Amino acid sequence: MAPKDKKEAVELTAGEESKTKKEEKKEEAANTLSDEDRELKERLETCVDTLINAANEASVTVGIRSKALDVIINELRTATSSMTSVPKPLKFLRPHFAVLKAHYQTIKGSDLELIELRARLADVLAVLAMTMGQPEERESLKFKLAGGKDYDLLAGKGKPSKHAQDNLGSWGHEFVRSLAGEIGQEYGQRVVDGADPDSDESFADLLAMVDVIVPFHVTHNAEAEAVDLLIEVQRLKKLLELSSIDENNYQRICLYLIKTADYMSDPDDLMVC
Amino acid sequence: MSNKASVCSCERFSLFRYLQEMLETAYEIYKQQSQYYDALRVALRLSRQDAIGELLASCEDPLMRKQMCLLLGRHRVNYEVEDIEDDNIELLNELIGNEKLSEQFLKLAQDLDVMDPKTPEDIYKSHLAETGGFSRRRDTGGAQVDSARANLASTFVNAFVNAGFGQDKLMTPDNEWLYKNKDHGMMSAAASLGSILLWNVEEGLTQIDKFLYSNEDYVKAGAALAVGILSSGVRNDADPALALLTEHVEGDSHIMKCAACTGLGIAYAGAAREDVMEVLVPVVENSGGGPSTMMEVSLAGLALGMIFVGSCDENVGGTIIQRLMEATDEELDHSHARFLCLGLALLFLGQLEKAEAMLEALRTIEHKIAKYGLIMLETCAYAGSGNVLKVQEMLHQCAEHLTEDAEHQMAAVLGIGLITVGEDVGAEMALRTYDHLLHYCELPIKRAVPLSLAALHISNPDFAVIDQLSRLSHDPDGELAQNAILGLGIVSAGTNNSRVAGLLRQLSEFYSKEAGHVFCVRIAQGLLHMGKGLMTLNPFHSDRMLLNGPALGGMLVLFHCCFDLKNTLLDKSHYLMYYLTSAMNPRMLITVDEEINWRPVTVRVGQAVETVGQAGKPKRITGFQTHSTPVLLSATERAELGTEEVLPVASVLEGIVIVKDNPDYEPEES
Repeated sequence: MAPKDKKEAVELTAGEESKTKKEEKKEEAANTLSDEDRELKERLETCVDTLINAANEASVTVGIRSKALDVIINELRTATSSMTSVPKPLKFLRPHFAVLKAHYQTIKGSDLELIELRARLADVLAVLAMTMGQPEERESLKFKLAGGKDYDLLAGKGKPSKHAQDNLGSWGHEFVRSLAGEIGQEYGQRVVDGADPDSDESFADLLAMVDVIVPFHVTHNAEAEAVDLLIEVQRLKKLLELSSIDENNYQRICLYLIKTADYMSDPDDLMVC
Repeated sequence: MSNKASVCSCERFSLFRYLQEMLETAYEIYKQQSQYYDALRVALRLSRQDAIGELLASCEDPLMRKQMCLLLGRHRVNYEVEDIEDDNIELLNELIGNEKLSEQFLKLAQDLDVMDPKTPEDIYKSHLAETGGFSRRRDTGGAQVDSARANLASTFVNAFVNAGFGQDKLMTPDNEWLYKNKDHGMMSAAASLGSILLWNVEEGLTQIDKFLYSNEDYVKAGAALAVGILSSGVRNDADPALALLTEHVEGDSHIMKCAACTGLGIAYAGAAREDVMEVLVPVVENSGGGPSTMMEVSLAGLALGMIFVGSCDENVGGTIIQRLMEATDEELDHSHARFLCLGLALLFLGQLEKAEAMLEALRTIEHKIAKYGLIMLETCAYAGSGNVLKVQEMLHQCAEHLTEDAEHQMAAVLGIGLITVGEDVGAEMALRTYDHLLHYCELPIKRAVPLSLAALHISNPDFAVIDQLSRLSHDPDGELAQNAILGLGIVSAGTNNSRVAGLLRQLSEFYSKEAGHVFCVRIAQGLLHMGKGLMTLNPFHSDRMLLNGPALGGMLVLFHCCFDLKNTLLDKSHYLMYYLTSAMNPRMLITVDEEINWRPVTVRVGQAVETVGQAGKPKRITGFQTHSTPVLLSATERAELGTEEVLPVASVLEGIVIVKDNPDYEPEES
């Protein structure tokens, strides 16, 4: 929730249109928010309120909550940012991260609509966790995996969600990169915990995601990142099955493979750590 | 936690397998994309000889096939093309066998107008030295005093400078120069013919033939060596080196045996030929008979190492290790026993963990040479890998303060260079390490520093390195200074670098009273102007990706000679320097058409830029100049075509490159 004094400030500025431009500017500088941003912030806040149904109104159906989620998702996806700044929606949703997380835990039930809502909320949380979660906890990945399970559940019941399609790349390149990093960490952790790296079974969920991320990277001129991910999950041979390698990018992929081969980390190096 | 992880991965994945997996993936992708030339480069990087046949067979483009054969020739791979559908199998084998290398090189020399032979005096330029005028006046006045060592130096300078040109002013006109030398000097003089006529087997043999039947044993030995040098890296149907030298290897004369073994080692470096092995193995197995036998054993072992460089051949490895184990202490004390160890080490050059078993075997030997051999073997196995742990191990060896019996420490210092060579980050870190070694360590280690420094910059006269070597070349310790002087030569080999030329001229005056130093300066000057600046000793080629085993092997022979200059180059085994011919290669870029006839095109030549992982289409060279082929490329340069009129068949523009018409080319309307 936004702090109360800020809300007051919003009301103040909204009410007094007669202020001179100069004063208005001053006001803005104090809030560091433009009209556009403020409007966005308010909209997101409303959506969050509706989504979690804070007032517990009966009139707020799952469908309406789903609509509210749609708005949030749309804002997140369409947000553009420069290299140096955090996308605005992400910034404004920051205070609500804990609330949303708590709400996510409370969604239970076998209603298909509700499950879809839960799955989609998980997607949103995964994106938010990219900047707000603790790095070691790999929350982003956890939410993504939980969401994936729900989608599978829906598909199993004969009602595959349309939102399950293109559910990684559409969240933006930065998210995919961050997720790839967490997949690598998670893979390592599972190996430490005794999973057999040679069998695909214990990593089926991760590898399914890898199979989506790698072609995404390769088709978006991030060949190096695709290779890095495959190395981390020890499945480099998957590159050979890739149909997205063509005469435009094979050179870059091979050059990266060849030049980094020498720097391949020595297992003994890790022993020292 | 990560500890446990690494234990798991240790069992499953060795470092070697990681590296191999990545390169093999690249190999497969290239193959999928029908880029067989690039696939071949990766296969060679992996030392996968078995893939060559498969690649040549699956490649359907006859031009690319020719280009692949050119690469095989440059990498000195002994492969015979057969069983593939190509009308030009003979031509392909010719290309792999480098049979036309001499022809192309001479054409390049003509094009660049450097055919005129140079005398050693043209190189020394003693008239430019401050005391030059004075000494010259004295020379013209009185009778010229020829010291044996000065003449020997001139022989080598002449051999290096005119290498491959087929003509000089000392050896080819008449026999006078030959008889100005004595004993071993005579041998090296006769052998220099091989260097002058390098790669030109047919013509060379006719010139050398007469010396093969000389009454003088040393001349005969030199001629035998010359036959070997001549065919360095060149295949010939008649196989003259093996045919002529076998009888001498099996003969009784000591000096002939030494020469013949060395000749075979140079001629078939990297060829891994069984029939040559059969000739040399009995020599290695010889025992008893004192120091001269040990000398023969060592040289034969070294030759075997050169021939089977990087092959991990079990027979050769077994023979050498067996001989080392059975050798008496006196034999291992012999100054040349190191070359037997070097032979063993070369077998595993760049093969990483494959040397493990052999390392264990070496540990069982109690003589101090085992330590030396161990380090040599380990550093050779990890040559060019940039493995930091191995560098640390080598530094650990240097931590001990020893003033004698420190040969293994010298090998360790050289090893640091050897491991990091070809890998820029590691090489830069090594430079800092050397500073520490120079500050804190004992003399033996310091003496190896200039060599290690040179190993990192072969034929690549980097400003800072020259500076450092120049400082070391004035060191009060004679051996350190000599090594630094030779280091200057190696760093600038084949570049005609004027800065180094000036430094060496100064040094020749500075040390004018010290015969040993002057000899080193002369050799360095010879190296500097090697092949009149058309050649390189750098073992890396194909865009610094491939490490040429025979070339690095040849360099290592020189480095190990330098560990004990007094007993090697400054004594009687100076002819070992001819091993450098296996490292010599023209540093040219020639463009040719489908029929391998010259086809000049414009190219841009500039400093190579690393573009790995960069977004977009980054420029691959910087500060370029536009020339028309043929052009010379230095160690850090890269070329790209300056015209759209033609397309290169090779992805790397080095050596001989086939170009074809660009079907989409539209001439600009003027």
